[in-house]
Amino acid sequence: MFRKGMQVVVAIILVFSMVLSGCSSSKEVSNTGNSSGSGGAKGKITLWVYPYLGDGEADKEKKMWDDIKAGFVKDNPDAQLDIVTNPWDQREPKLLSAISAGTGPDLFYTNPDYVVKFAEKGIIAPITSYLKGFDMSDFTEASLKTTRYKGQDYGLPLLQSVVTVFYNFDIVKEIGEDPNNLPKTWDEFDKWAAKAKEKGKYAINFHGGGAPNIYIYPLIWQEGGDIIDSNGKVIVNSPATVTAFTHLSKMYTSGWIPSDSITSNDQVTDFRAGKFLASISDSTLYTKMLSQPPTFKWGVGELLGNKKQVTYGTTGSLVIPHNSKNKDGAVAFMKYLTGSEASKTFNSITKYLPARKTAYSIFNGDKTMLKFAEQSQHTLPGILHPIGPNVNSFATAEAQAVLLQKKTPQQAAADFAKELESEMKKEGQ
Amino acid sequence: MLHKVRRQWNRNGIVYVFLVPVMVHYLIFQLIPFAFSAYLTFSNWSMVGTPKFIGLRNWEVFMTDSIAWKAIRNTLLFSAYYIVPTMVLGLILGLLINNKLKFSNFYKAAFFLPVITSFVVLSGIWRWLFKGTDYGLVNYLLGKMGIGMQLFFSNPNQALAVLAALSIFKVSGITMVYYYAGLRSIPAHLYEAARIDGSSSWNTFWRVTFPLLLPTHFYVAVVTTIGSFQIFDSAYLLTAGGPDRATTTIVYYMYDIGFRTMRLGYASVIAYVLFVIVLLISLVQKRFLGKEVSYY
Repeated sequence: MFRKGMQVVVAIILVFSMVLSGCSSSKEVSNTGNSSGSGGAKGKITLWVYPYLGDGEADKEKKMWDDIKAGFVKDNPDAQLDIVTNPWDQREPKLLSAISAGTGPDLFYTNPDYVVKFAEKGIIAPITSYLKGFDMSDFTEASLKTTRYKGQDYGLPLLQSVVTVFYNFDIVKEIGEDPNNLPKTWDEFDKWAAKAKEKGKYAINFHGGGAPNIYIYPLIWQEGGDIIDSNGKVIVNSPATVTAFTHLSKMYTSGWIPSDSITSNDQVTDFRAGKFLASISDSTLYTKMLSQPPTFKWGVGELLGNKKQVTYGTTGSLVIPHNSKNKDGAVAFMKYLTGSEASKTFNSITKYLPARKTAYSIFNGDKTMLKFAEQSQHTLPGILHPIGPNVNSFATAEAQAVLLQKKTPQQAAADFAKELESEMKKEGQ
Repeated sequence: MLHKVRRQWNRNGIVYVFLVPVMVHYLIFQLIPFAFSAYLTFSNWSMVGTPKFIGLRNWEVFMTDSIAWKAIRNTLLFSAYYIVPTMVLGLILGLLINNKLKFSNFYKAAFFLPVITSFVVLSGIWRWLFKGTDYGLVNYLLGKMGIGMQLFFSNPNQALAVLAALSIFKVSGITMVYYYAGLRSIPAHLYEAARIDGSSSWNTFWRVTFPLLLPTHFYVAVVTTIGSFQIFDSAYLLTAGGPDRATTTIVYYMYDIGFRTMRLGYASVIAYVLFVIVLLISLVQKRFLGKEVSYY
């Protein structure tokens, strides 16, 4: 009786797991249909994207998507395109749940660390065969690196960003410095930071509550170090990391960054309120400065770095879930949206850098965007390893331990490395 | 046999009509996921493909996972900060609105307002109030009283308490309603008898009201305990589990493991540990608070 009961339970579990897994595999999608990007796309195509413009600009963004949609449907009258804008918050759980249940999109937007993670786990499908004969020479080399994993193409890049330094020129003048001669190294910046502190201002923002790819990894890169090398070896326990953590600790104990930096995740608002000499941010701050101009004069400075002038820059790509019901249509729309014309429409409104070189023409006359474009040559996309997204919580905790003076920079660097090595073992890497 | 079934149907048919949808719902949304996640604890699965059986490996990882144990400690500490204050505040508010004060309906609505307000909105208010800089509102007020600046969310010794305060503020309105219902169910003649016997208000509260609220205490204790072990939103929205994992709670860690690292098997282990802890605590609460109350 008990045995029979167990058989029933096991059968239920197996059926349930098969239903959840969609009886699917991560085999490469076959190029069975027309996917030239115009003319032949058929059926329903659902794209999941996220808000690229700030609060209060939803109408502008909706119009942009309507225009892009109209352009695609005009060329592909047999396609029904549905563009769904989801909130950024908790995007992975929503996406994974939907894909697992077979109700996910046909293509979606994601960032480099998740391209690798999703590819490794078989959540997204390789599209290499679809790209045979497709001219990719117009895409920047840096952006294409983020969509390739283990020799396969998994998507096409839509946008690039660059994390740079914005300055409050009123404070620059107040501390007796020249807005036309901004710091190029952290050593130079630190001298300005001390002067800003004397004037009752903070030097720069530091969001210790999250986004280590923006606030922690670049400090390590700029000292000549890295977290995981291209062979998948953990190399974070290095003098570069110790120097980066030491500098971070100095900025905190000197009061150059605010006291709540340990867990803060929004100090940019205070930069816009005139409390900071400088702010680390990307073009999202630029769009905000344009739509809601601050009361002070401002500008974008040079990338900071003692050994290397390098920063974080993401590449936003479009990828296809392994169980998309319309992969032909999805690839066709992917090619259309990342094409030069749609890319111009998208990036001119969102103020992100296009991944296509020919689309850079949209910024002619916009000195700030051209500066971003120039700086994008010196960006790194974060940690391109299957444990990439896992690393963030360890980096955050170690940096917090340093700021709280619970660990020395040396201890934090060593513990960080041990945690990543253990994480790799758990992931079978 | 058929006759037996027919007789059973004639006698209890209507019961089955109402019971079947509930049982089907229970089977699909409770029993199958419960059994499936039990299987997942012995598997490696990232939401696609078939789970790969790996024996006890996930459980072995849990035994040596210092972050998981820290999350359990943090959650127990959060419960200590949260359960009793929520019950006390709910009881005080319940007594207040039960006393037929002027504008009592207004107070009811005002105290209940945080319950129906989004956690995201309340978290935004909390972030603004407890900003760990000299221009944070609470720090400004403390400064006026001669107390030095506090880091709040950035202090590992304060962050969890500040999050617990937010949860108490959010939930006290509903515990107020439970206690109000409990207070209304106490027969008036017991208070009349106490008054005739010359009992003071204080004495009446401790000798009549408090003991007769035992079923309410039990219910509120169980509900707030389960709630405290499920704490996630505030840790996710305000501190991201920091500083130095001081606010990493069990559910927050489970979320992180499940959806950031995509190790659903190991996340299921943490879910089962949470289940066992809540079950044990609920049984202890039932032993001490779940007694029958007689109104005489």
